[in-house]
Amino acid sequence: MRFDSFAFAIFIVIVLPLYWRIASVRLQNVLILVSSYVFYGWWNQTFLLLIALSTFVDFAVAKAIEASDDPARRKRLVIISAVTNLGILGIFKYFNFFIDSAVTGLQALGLEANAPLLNVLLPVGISFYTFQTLAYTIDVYRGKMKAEHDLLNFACYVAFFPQLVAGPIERASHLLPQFSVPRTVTMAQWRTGATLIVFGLVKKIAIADNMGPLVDAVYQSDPNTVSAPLVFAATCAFALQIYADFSGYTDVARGIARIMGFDLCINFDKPYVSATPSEFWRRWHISLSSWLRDYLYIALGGNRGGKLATYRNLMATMVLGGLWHGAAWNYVLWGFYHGGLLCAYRVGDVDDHLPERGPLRVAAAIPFFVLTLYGWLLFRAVSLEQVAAFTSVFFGSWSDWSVALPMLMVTAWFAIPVVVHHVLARGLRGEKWMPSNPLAWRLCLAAVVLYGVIHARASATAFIYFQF
Amino acid sequence: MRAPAPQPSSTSSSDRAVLRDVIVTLVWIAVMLLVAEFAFRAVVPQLSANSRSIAASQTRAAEMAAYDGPTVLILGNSISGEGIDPELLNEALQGAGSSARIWHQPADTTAMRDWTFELQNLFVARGATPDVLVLPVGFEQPLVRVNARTEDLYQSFLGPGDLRVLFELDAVEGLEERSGARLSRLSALYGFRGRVQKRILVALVPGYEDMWGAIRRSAEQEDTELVTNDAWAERMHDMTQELGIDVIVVAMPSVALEGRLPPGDRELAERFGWTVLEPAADVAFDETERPDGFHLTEPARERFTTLLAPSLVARLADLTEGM
Repeated sequence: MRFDSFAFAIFIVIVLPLYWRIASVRLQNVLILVSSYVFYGWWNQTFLLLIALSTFVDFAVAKAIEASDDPARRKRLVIISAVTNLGILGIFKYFNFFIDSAVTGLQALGLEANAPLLNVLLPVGISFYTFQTLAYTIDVYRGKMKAEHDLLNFACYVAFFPQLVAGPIERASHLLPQFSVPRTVTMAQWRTGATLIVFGLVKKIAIADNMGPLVDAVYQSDPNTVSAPLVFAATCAFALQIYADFSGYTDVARGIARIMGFDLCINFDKPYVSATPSEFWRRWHISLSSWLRDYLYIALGGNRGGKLATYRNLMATMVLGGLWHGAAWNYVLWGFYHGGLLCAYRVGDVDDHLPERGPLRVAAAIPFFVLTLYGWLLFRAVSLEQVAAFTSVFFGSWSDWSVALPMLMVTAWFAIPVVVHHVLARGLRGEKWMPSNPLAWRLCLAAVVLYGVIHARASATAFIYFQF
Repeated sequence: MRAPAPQPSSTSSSDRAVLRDVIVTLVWIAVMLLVAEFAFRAVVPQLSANSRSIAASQTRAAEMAAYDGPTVLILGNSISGEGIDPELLNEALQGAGSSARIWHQPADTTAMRDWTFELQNLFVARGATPDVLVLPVGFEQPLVRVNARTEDLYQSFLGPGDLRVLFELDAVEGLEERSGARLSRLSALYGFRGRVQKRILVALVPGYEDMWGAIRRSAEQEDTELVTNDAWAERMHDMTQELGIDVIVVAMPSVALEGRLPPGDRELAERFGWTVLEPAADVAFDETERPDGFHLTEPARERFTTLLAPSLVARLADLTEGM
């Protein structure tokens, strides 16, 4: 079920009033669990078993870890959790990719190779909830939090529908305790929640969905027919599309959670103003990048083993982060590219030399935005051949802007609401950017709704991050 | 909205305030949308007058209903709008001593599905049942194709009872599509949003339409706005048979057709007993006459109409003999 669907509108109109009619926290949690499973099962009921499996395994494993004083046993238990979660991910997301790549590699060496591929769908949101449950078990193992002893609370934490299929990837220490306490909604929570929902939907249906056809038109073209300005313009459009799409989803998720009395973490913080790669990853998909930092980069040794080890760990973290996004080589290349950027900027100590704000920082943000754009080209490309073809196009002529300029202007037009939001939300952490006066707030909200209705594209597309 | 809290009395008063705020906010949004809807309905006639010829269709239907002689209706899209000159055809009919008269209803981006609803709701329902219906087809929109993205179709051509037929023949399934179609039918604001967006972008971005033209030409993918669905041709056949309307199909000189009906369409036309005219089958139209490949220039329009006139007049003479 997508947030921008009629089915979800009906779903939420039923669930929310019912949720607030229930006085008991426990019954509210039952409703959350049932509605979350309905929300996910609307797409595919069979894959609910995977969520249930992940839930039961991590619930049991974490309790067993907590109960044990034997380090070896605790380690074995955390390995069970990792094998289960990464095994689910490996089978459903990466099995075909690795088999196919191995076969292609062997064939390239002139060897006969053939292997069966799995004929399975990729379960929506699998990368999000497996990382979430895995992090919980690791936190219990590291002694950072106590194991949850209430299965209902834990099942709600794993399957909480606002963030189940595309995050944010919530830390158990932040979200899980919220299922144990009474929830209240203040006037401010309701208003900021409603603002997040409306603006998030507008980002998706009025901005991202309008960028999609422009991007697709170029990225589905014959590489021999595209010019450098056209690829540049389409990649700018994609930069807006993926930001509006994913941050829009996060906004709606946070807004719905908020009016249910929950707080979800911030996942985007104006990423395109970043002047360095490390700043970008502190602003883009924050819940994933902090997950990778805490559970992968630091586990690999972080920056504790000298410069070379730090670069190795950065590269490994980013390559795996790239692979997290999808089972394709262009995602690996994207991760490798961002790892390379992180290392290069670290070699130059750019972060330490740049001032916090001012013209120098703005000047540094422009070339980094161009570097980010090339990263999006790697990300959006349909194959490595296309990456090579589009990259070589950049070394050709830049004279023909006849199609690219209108495309950039269309992108700029649709970027206006995002830029306005960025300017208004400066220093206010995103959601309190509308006027606080009730009348002015309602007028603004209605104006945003009207903008969304007029600019909504006729054919909606799925959120990009659903596939991850 | 009610939430459990340690102090029931103060919480419940705060809950009531939030609930009141939710309701007031929803009412505000609904009122704003209604105001926009009514404002929008005031400009819809202008929008549709240009794109769909809705306003003009009333005049055409009234003239046709009042006309005392054989009536001919050409239903088409921009390809026929810029490809056939009805005045030239009427002059040719008059010159041949025929009392038949032609009305041309070209509405942008329409295809067979739209034409069935146009015939039914804009003409027959207004007492204007033509004796002969002419369907000019061109580009990739021959008889069995429908345009999947005529967003304002629901406003322009559909009556309240037509959605059932639309859902059935288009195999529209699921809550999503059905709700979207209903909303498009109910709300001018929602139904015409695609055209408003386009107007805004055409006004703001120089070269916007050329950009899409260039993209479409270079794209490898098929034009996904067109889908094949011969159920609408079947419906048109049933409707015209029931109403006693003869049908003539004209192959336009646009790319992909080059003045000849595709074999599948020819078979369909033969099965239905529809006349096929291909006046440009052996005549070349070059790039200067159809710069985008399917819309003719003014001189080319005149040339094609002149080519069409003799065969059309002859066929109309056969069909309307004795009327």
